[in-house]
Amino acid sequence: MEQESASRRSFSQTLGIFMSGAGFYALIAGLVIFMVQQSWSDLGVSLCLILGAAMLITGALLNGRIASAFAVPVGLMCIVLPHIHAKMKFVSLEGLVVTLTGLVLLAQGVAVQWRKVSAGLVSRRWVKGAFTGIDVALVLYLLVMTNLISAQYHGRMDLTGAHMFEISSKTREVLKGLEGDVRIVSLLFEDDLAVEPRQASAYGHVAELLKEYVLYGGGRVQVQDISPTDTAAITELTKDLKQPPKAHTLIVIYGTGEGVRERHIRAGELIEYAGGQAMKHAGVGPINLKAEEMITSGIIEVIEGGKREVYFTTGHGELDPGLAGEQGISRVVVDLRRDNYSVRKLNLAMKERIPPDCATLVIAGPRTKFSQLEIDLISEYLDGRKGKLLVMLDPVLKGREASGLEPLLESWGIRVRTDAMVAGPQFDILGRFKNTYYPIDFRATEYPAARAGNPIVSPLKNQMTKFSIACPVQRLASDDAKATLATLVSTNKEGWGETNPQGTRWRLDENDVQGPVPLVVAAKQKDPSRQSDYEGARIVVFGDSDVIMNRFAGVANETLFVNSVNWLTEQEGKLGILPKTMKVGTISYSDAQRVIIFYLTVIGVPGIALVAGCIVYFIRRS
Amino acid sequence: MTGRARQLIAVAGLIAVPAGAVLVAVGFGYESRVVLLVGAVAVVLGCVVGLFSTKVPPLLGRELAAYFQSPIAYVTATVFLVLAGVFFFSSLERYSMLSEKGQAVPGEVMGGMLWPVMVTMIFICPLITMRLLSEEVRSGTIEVLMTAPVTDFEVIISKFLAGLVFYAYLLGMTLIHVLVVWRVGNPDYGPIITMYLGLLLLGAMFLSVGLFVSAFTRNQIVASVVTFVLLMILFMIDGASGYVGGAVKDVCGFVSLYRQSDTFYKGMVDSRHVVYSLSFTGAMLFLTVRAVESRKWR
Repeated sequence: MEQESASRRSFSQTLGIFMSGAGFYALIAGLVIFMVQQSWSDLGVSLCLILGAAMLITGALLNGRIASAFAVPVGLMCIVLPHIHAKMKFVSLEGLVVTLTGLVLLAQGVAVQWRKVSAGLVSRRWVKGAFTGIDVALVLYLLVMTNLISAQYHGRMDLTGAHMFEISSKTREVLKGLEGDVRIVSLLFEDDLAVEPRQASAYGHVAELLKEYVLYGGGRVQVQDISPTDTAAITELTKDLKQPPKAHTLIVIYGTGEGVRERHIRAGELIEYAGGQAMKHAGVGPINLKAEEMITSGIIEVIEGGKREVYFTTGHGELDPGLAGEQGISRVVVDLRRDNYSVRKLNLAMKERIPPDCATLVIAGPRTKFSQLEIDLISEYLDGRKGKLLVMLDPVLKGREASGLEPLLESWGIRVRTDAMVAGPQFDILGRFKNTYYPIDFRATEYPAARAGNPIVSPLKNQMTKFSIACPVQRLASDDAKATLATLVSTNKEGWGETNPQGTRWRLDENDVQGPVPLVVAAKQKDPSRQSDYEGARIVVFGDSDVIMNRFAGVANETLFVNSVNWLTEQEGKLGILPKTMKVGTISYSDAQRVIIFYLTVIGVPGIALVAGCIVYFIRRS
Repeated sequence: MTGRARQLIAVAGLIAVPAGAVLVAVGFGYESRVVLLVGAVAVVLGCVVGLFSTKVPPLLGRELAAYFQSPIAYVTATVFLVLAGVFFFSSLERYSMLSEKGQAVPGEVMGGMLWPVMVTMIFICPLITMRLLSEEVRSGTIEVLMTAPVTDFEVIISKFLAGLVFYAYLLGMTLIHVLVVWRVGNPDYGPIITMYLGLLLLGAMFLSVGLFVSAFTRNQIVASVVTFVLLMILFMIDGASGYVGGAVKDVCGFVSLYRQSDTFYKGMVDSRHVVYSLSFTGAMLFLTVRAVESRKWR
């Protein structure tokens, strides 16, 4: 009986030796194949490693002592390999796995052999000390490795109410597509005493946001903070740039030497006072953080290099892109420039054709009629050259005449009812003139096309746009229309188009346009041959030109306009990074409440701890 | 508790912790807060349940009793809460002034208090930990503890947890201030949550350093002063990065608790910082266990 068990034991031990040896060689083979192939995805490598490890473990279970003898060299090799081998990065998941395997093997091997060592020769104290030392070294090594790995594969979670630090999917796309290195130098100083508290806080936000760019930049984006006192760094930076750097700017740099392209973004462009200029001077009101939009468009700009032309027509009393002030449109013009467009004026009467570099033609609120020659030019631009047109028309009231563009638009399936004026109960402000009530500004929050994922209005969900003295833009239903249409913005159901706006009383009657009244309609030319990536003419028609005026700061009007231009010029990838609003914190308490708060927090709460302490003290004493 | 039940509990804990950790990683990767939260709860519950299979609960009870029966705890708590109250009140006054001007940032309403509270903790934590091991060494009770049928690991963990519970109690008292803010203003709760999370993680690091130092000396004053100096270095090392360059600068920035706290302060949770705090705390506790164990053979 005893003999039988002894022979079984000797068999299992022999098998253990065999398994350990085979496992050892399999592991070595796996590592060697890896060295040659330089790839972990190779089937041979993983098979060898998995089989080797499995056999070594089985061997160890059958014959611990022998396996441990094999385990020690393999373990050492596994620990050393990731640190000397160039292809396998020192800090990587694979490196850590191999190192950890090595550590386990080594520890197991040493632990089995340990009894021998401790039995003789060396004193127990030294052995213990040595092992504690190894232990401590291993733990410290693991601590460093864990943190190196976590520094490489890290993520962030934004718990702020407005998700201030999360970059949009659009920016991530741009960063993913980067092919060269982009350097962003920040000359914003959070601790600058010259800026007011919220602006300083906004600088802090920008710094956090830039970390996100690095995170998603896949090693292509470098961010550098330079302090104003660091003259050496500033001199160095000046050498790299064409334009000298200024304080309170963010510089996006692409390329080096002569070919360097740079975009200087001023601090004032990164944030914006949602309440407009008046609020800015008072230093109050919510701040819109436009940093992401600016930085991303800066990156696109420095990579693309060139600019695209947007022409605004003149000569018919249209809005002037150069005009500032409440009635001007300088804000959307600045927005366009930031998106790498150059904005120009165009007098059609002086031209034989629309310039070939025209990316989009904008007709913003003409007050007089276009000549037939001009209309022919536009028509040829649309049909012959697959042009892009943005038209903004207003109701024909006193001092205005019909633009003459209506028949052209109708041929595309869009009827602008310049004879009517949008009315409805949702108007905030009513203007009164000679017993006539005019709806001045009204809100539009209905974006019918957003549900279908329209790139112009989808980013506007839950945002408000404001219109003023608008006319309905109807879609003409017909099957053989040459364009597919989408209603971008409309009033709600209660709105209607009043066909007798000069009358004294406004009421929905059978002549009027029934609600919801469409205000902005987009048209995309249908493909006659039904090819998939057909590039046809595109038109966006606004039933109002006031929407882009500067006085509508703080609502989504600018985004609507810029998104429209981007859609017209096929720049859909750049769309929809909306500014984030840093809300104003409010807190208010009366003098009586202040006293309560003071007593509660400074005396009450510590008092509880003190009284509890006294009670405990006296109970213990007694 | 029977041995069988103990084993079952230990197994449950052992399964819950890695499963929770995987969920946390998945939640972070796919930006799903629900998964992340479930994972985090699983890890914490797994740890708690796992601890119940050891002798930690009775030891923890003993430590906590020792804490709350000593006047030092109440003196510490009173001093801390007076400071926190003053910080809170002055920060609230400043915030309300900014709010009147329309310049207040909603996320920063508690920041004005919690930031100085964090700095205060550098002073308070050495006071919490100084007696944990030094006291045992001085009074000789460490010998009893070492020879008792408990492992060194269980002793250290229960001492650490006792410190953490006391720390959380101090921090928990400041939740009254959050209630005040909730009553009179419209704070952004995200940064408040991350600041408390950051303070807890930071506290765990502070306490583990304190415990480690306390294992080497029988003098409580020495323990607290050395701890304080170490924490200050850890906190301020970021400042050194202005004078050095390259990799050293990056390491200084990463190790610095100031940099880390700043992210929590802004309302962000960065996986690097969470991993750093937890791994640092774990390593410190391990070293403490080894340090205590070394008494047996030194």
